[in-house]
Amino acid sequence: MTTAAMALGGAGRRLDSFGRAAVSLFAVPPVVFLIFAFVVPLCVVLGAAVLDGGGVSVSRYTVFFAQEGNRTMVLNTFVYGVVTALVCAALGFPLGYVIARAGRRMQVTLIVLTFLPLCTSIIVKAFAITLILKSNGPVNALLLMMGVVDEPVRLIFTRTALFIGSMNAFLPFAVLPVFAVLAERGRDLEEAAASLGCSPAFTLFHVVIPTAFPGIVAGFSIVAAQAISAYVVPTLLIGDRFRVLARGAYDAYVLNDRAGAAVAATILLALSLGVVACANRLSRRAERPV
Amino acid sequence: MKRKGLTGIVMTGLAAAALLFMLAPLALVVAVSLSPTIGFDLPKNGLSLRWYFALGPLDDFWRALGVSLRVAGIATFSAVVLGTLAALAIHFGRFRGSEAVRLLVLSPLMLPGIVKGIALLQAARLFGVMDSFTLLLIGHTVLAIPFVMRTLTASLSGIDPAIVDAARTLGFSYPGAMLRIVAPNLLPGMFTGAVFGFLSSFDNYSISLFVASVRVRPLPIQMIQYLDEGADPSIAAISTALIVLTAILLLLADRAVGLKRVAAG
Repeated sequence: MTTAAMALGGAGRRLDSFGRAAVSLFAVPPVVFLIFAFVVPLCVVLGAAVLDGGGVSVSRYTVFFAQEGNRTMVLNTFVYGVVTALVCAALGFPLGYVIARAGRRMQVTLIVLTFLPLCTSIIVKAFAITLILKSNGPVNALLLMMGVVDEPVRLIFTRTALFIGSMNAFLPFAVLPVFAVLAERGRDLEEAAASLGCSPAFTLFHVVIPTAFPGIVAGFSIVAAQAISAYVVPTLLIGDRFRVLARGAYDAYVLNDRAGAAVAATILLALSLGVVACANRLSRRAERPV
Repeated sequence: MKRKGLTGIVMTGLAAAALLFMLAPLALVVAVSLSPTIGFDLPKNGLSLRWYFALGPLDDFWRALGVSLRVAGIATFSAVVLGTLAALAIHFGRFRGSEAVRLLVLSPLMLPGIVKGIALLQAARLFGVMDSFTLLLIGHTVLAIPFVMRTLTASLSGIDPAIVDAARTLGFSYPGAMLRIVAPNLLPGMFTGAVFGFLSSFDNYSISLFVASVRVRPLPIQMIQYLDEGADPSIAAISTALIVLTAILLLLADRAVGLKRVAAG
């Protein structure tokens, strides 16, 4: 057997390179599918936004930005996405850290408990927030009990509702990236810092947070990308009082305005990719050795 | 836990608050679904399954559920096949542009859902594909492929490509080695990828919003309509069912590969 394999060595190796070439061909079906189902549609949208008559023109964008309502909509989307992502990244960090440093059993439990809201339908989460915030709901009951207000306040369809709802919907996405980074790194450094007599607070700010930074930024990016393109949360929790691009794109589609939908969609895409790219640059710059 | 100090207490407190903030609304939905009253209240005088029984005659709910299950099932299956092919090609194959293939397969994750929805719809109109079910399948398959690919890449990273050469030396044919040696190691990863792909399709609204029709309408779109119309607490019963389904699938995925590995990957 061994001698046979050795005798066949040359032929076998050639066969293996043939095998590898054959395995490489496995990539053909997924690539062809994604080109037709994903790349071509994206090109169609870009075309619908910039092609005019036979030439390329940005006239649709100038028309779009000429309207004040549209400018507000873009600004709303940007501010909403960035603020939501900043708050989620800040709130997600402590939980990600605690999960990374928890004992084994506790760690598994905490991870499952984080995955549940992460994977729960965003419609269910938005609906849950309407229940929390409604005029005879728990938040109002608490405010009344504490004497902060004399009668129930309307929270739903306000900016408060929008931001509470968004943080609730997107916070889980900011937790696990921090865990992923800290699970592998930092423990030794923290112990070293402690044995050198650093206070826990000093260690937190000078060891843990710098180590976790790429994870915090990754959480920020994921949340920002999702919040910028969110449709369900703004629609159910605030409606037309705070218009965002995803809603604008959908409304254009309902009105059968093909070019309008394409323009809004491409701006949405640019905003989302732009914020993520900036965050990644920041992360890479921070990671460079000082 | 060793010496904690104030910092440790503050961090633990913030973590507990974050966890409570994420889970409390879900618990409230479950509680409301069990309340006998119509006002979306917490149950005060006993529990009732009234809103679950109210789902029985709700035809459009069952139709939407059927559409969602069929679309998610077929899209997940297609995504597992295509995603596995891509992951194997990238891990074992030798070809230029494998990095480009990896980026192409993962990129649907990075693009806003609404953009994917509009893109699919406009391309479909251009090429004359008008069947909602077909479009839902295509869109949701695109959505699910990255999840399969990601978990499989994690499973494959533990497999030394030389294992195939070793199997070859022992007399396996190349396809035989892939099938008998590599595939069994991949099944847990495929299953976990399938779970996340299924959930991403089953919960998707951003693509469905554009390609669904009145007759072919997945559950999330139907739920948005119920909420728009100001429905009765049946919607809390549906939501509870979805939370329970998600929890079951996550526990299965945890048994298959461990969610810790998914989270760390």
